[in-house]
Amino acid sequence: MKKTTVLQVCVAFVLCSPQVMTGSPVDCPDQDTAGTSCSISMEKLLERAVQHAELIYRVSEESKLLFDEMLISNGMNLHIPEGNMCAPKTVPVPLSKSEIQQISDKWILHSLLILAQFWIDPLAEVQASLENYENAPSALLTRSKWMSTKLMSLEQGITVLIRQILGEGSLTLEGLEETSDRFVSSNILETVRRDYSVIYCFRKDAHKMQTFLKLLKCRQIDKENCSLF
Amino acid sequence: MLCFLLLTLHWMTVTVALQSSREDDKRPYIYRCRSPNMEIFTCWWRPIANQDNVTYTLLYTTGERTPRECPDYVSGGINSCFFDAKHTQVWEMYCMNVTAHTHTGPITSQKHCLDVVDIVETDPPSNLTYVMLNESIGEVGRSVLVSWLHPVKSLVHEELIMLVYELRYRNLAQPDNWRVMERLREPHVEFLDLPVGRYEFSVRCRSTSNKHWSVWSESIFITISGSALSDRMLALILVTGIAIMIFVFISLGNIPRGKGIKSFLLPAIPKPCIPGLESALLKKGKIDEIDQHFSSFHSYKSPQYCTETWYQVSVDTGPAVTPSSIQSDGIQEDVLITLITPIVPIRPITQYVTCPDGQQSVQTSCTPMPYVRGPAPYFKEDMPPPEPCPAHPELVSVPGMDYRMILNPTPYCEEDTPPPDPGPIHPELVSVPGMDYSMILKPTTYCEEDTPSRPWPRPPGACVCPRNGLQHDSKPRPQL
Repeated sequence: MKKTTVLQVCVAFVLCSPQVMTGSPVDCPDQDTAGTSCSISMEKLLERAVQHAELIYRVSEESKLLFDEMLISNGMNLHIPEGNMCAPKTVPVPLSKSEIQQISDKWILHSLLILAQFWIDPLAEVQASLENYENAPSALLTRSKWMSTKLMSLEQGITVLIRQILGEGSLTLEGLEETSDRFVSSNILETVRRDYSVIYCFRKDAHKMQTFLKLLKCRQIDKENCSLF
Repeated sequence: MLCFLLLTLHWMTVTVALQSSREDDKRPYIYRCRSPNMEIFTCWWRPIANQDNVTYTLLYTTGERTPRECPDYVSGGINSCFFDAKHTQVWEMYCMNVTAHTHTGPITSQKHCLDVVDIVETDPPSNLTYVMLNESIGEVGRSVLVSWLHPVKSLVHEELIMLVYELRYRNLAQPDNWRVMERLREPHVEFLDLPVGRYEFSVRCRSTSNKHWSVWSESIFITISGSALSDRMLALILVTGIAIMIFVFISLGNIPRGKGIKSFLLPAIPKPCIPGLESALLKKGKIDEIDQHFSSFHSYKSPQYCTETWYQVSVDTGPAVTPSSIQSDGIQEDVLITLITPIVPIRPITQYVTCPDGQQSVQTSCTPMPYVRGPAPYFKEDMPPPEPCPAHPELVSVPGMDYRMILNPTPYCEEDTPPPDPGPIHPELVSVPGMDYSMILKPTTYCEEDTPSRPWPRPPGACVCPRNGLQHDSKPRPQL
């Protein structure tokens, strides 16, 4: 009996291996017809999204520190009153455990999309503005550029997630207030203040996005007792 | 069952082979896609056999959208499609196909789908360098720290593309023996104590989500030079040196003039030299001559030879000879040879240590039996018996032998002149070979015709034992 079992296993392995050798991806049948579409699995998507959000948050922290150093070295001491620049556009974060259990995946995904779509433009502006600075450190420049690129990629990912989880089509949320009017000021101090506030507030929202994505991943994949950590 | 399985296997293999061969001839097919950093990627296809006036178009879709054409046919080389950063995303799969536009009509390849993350094949690690660490004391080799850089230069690349490295190295003296360090997560590795030689190092990497390794990076060469003298050589030199020295010294003793050279190289330790005194005298000379020499020294006393006397008591009193026979006539004394077998002192022994100057110290408290005490010898002349002198038995210890002999004490009377300085005492060996006896010898009569031939300390006129020490008496006496 053992011998036949071993043989069956070997044969099954051999039969499966030609598929592997031709290299067709897992979810996608290699067919001539273009009807069937291939998609990446949910676990992989969520994992990549979480990774993106984590990295974006880390880079935003580094950007803020670099900005602080630049201001100190230039002798400017900007004191951004907290809660001033960031408040109206933010999505409220549920704090208590009951609140967390009440919010749905739909709410999470929509919030994520709102956040991502909101910050794309300000980051692009800040990146352009930083290039005009006289002695901005190159590390700050590369980071701000990287952040805006990766945020756009993350926004794409969130859209895909919405499509897969909620089944909705691509949606651009109309409820956003257009606050990103081109802020052009000849006053250097105002420009610097604005740039600093963008980086400062974006850091907070990046952390929010990271938290929401982790919660979503926990709910979708682990399905255990998930809470905001 | 077995046959069925084998047949199925055979059929599968044949099908696959047929499929691939079919594509080779008739249709183009995309055979390879590669992304170096997850931000761009390139795909290559294999053209169809008859290559004249054939153009190719590649169409791809991401998800459900309408197919789009390849953005760049040039940058990746011939028969390739290059996707730049704007057209690359990691959230949806790409499905693409190539169409060959021949004069007979378009021929479309099979659909090929991919996930960008799965096709990441990074460049080999760059900037492979090494640092020689401090040479450790006592070691022959050196320690080397080899490090390299992640190939992808963009920001946070280490986290976005997790890489695992592999390093291989070989000693150029053995070019076929590559040693590989696998599953390295950090872009550096330290080699402790590499032996002397010339080495070649190179690294490669792969993404953790992929199984394709990059190519091996460019090699670097490291030369490790050893210290001048290794431990083994030092030990060899040391042993050889010592052996040579020993050989020289031994040979110096053997060659004719060796002694002179030897004494020059290794001077002899000087012996003590006292003027007038030779070492030969000390070895074989007579004590009185030595005394003469030494007497000039301050506080030198000639050695006192003290005698030990043993009084021993016999077990049975049978064969004991009473001293009555001695004092009976007073003319002759008898030599009593009393054999005491075995030596069993019944009573504690009184030891009398007699020194020629008359000192006597008693070492035990008991007194010997009267039989032994002070047998007063009677002289030949009709001298009144002297006052009972304290008996001074003679030396009886036999050096080197396990015998004890009691020689009857020579009378030392006060009116006598003090005996001369005793010479070296040569106790008379009266031994019974092979037996463990203790013999009590009493001085025999000294016959006038005998000449004093022994340096016995004796008062003048005392009876002296003849040479052989045995009874030499006219009178027969029982001998035991």
